[in-house]
Amino acid sequence: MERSRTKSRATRLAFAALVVLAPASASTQAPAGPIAVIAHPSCPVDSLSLAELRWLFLKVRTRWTSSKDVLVINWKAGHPIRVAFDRKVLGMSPHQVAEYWIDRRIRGLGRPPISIKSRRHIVKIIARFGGAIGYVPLKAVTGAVKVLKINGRLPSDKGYPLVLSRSPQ
Amino acid sequence: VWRGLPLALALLLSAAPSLAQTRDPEPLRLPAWAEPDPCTRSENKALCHRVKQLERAQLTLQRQLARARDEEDVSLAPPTVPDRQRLRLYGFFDTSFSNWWINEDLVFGEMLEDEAMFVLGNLNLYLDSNPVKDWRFLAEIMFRLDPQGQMDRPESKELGTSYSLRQFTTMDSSTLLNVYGYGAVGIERAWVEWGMVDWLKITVGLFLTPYGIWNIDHGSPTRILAAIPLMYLSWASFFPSSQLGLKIHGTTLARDLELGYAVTVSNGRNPFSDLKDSDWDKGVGLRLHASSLLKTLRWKLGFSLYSGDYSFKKKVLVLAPQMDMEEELEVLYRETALGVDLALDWGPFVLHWELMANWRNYADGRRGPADLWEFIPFDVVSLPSIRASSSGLGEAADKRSLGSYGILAYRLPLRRFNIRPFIHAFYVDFTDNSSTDDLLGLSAGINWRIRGKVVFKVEHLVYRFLNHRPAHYALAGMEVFQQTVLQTAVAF
Repeated sequence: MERSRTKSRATRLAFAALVVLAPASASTQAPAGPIAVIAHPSCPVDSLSLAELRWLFLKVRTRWTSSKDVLVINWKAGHPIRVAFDRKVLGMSPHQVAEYWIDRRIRGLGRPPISIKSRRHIVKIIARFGGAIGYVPLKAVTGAVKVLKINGRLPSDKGYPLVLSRSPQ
Repeated sequence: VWRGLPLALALLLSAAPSLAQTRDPEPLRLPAWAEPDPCTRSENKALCHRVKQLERAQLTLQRQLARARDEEDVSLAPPTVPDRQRLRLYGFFDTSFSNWWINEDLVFGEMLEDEAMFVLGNLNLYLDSNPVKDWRFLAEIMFRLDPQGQMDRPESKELGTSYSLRQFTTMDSSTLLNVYGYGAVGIERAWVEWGMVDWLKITVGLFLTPYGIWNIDHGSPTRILAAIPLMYLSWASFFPSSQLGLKIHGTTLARDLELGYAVTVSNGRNPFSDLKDSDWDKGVGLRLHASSLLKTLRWKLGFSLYSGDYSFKKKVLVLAPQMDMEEELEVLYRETALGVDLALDWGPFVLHWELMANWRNYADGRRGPADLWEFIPFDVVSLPSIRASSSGLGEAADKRSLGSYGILAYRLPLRRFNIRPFIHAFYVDFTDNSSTDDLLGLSAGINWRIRGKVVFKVEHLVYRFLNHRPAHYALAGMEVFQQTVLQTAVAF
């Protein structure tokens, strides 16, 4: 009798721990579904190819027009959505991305994009600064930013290239 | 008694505040070992153990949750983009353990340090700023230990010349007792750049010559090898490594291709080119490159050209017919360099390859004396002292040098460790009309890069002179020599 009560208590505690654990573990995985590439509403571009997106996020292309800089807003290094995006768009592992930016700096070519760890901040910054571009899960998109087409398709379209599976690894 | 009363009163008064502050005694507490432990009862042991486990897990989860909430906390201050005008400091550092495997009985062997030793390499600090929109300033300062511990240059051929290590010391001005050695500061580059569009940027100042892969990679954390390819040593470089002048450059994109160019006009190469020019002719350079960053295959193909006059002038004070300073042009040659380079990054493989050539054509009557060592280009050993001492070697001849190197690295399929074994080969033909031989080098090593910032390298090199002519006094018996380098580099 005593032993069964003990077991029951332990099970309840374990269940409570799992409930607490659930949101934390979810935050360590990239969300499944489409990733929307968003820009400031004044962005002169409506659609980008995957290659153009790559150039922007590698800071090879740094201007929208002669008067407007591109302000790339990225996720913090190591964030699951960043890892997934880097693999999908840049074709680089986290090692390669880290090397790319450090090497660029030592070569004197400048620093990496600003990185933010909160998707709401990313949306807010992009909505606030002209020329800004970034990416967030589709569900985080607000009306304050412009969703860009990638390869001519919107995130809701069939065949949209930036759809993440549950496990980005 | 009465004599002691004031003293007793004074003691009481001084003790009064501390007495007033004395707190009530704390309730009696049993020491931890004396408190009954609920887990001592055998029937509760398992449960208590489990509860403790869960408490620890809960604590961990609470921390994770707090961290996750912080990330999503929108109540923080409104997001701001970092100020453009902020000065950013970063740089790199490396230190090595090096050993030359060389016959120290030889002249050349004696000049190299044959003891295995730790070596302090580069400590370079970058100052990077965007003072105004569309403008950028970058300076790179290299902190050196030179001239401490440097050997006298082997510039004199006189027999009996002794070569000793130099020690430069100064007094500590604060105490005038302490003596310490001082080092130097070198400016690797310092420039201002204006650019409103990607296809047109204008840079003025001291910049790295845009050529090849090695010179552009520049820093030890970025480079795969631990040892420098011979054709990039300062005294043997086919192109000037940096130039003081103007650079116009830019890039444009065409689908998956990046096309870039750079045009340079500078003081060119002369013994003091970072300070001043010694002739009106400027060095001009051109760099064209195409690169692709496909997801699976990244490549970059470059072509570089440099042409300029090298000159060395001597100023002579004359007294008759009137006091004057006259210039004598001692050395003048036209230098042309061509280079092709290819970098491939294909899955786990990395390939770097460069091919370069350099021609030096002297103006008649301005050849100057031949080099002390034929395989060393003139600009390094052409200082006045060597010219004075090596005049017996005759006039310098026109030269053509050719060199190439390749590196093949393979990223091991290890998830946590970014380890790349590599092989490296180079071939240099320094000149086609001297007694010097061609030099072939082979090396193998490992490059282990941790999070991109910390790099461990180990490399063993074997150098071999081809078609060796034993008559060459400095290189006699030097057919093969070897070097081992272990290097730690960090980007900060």
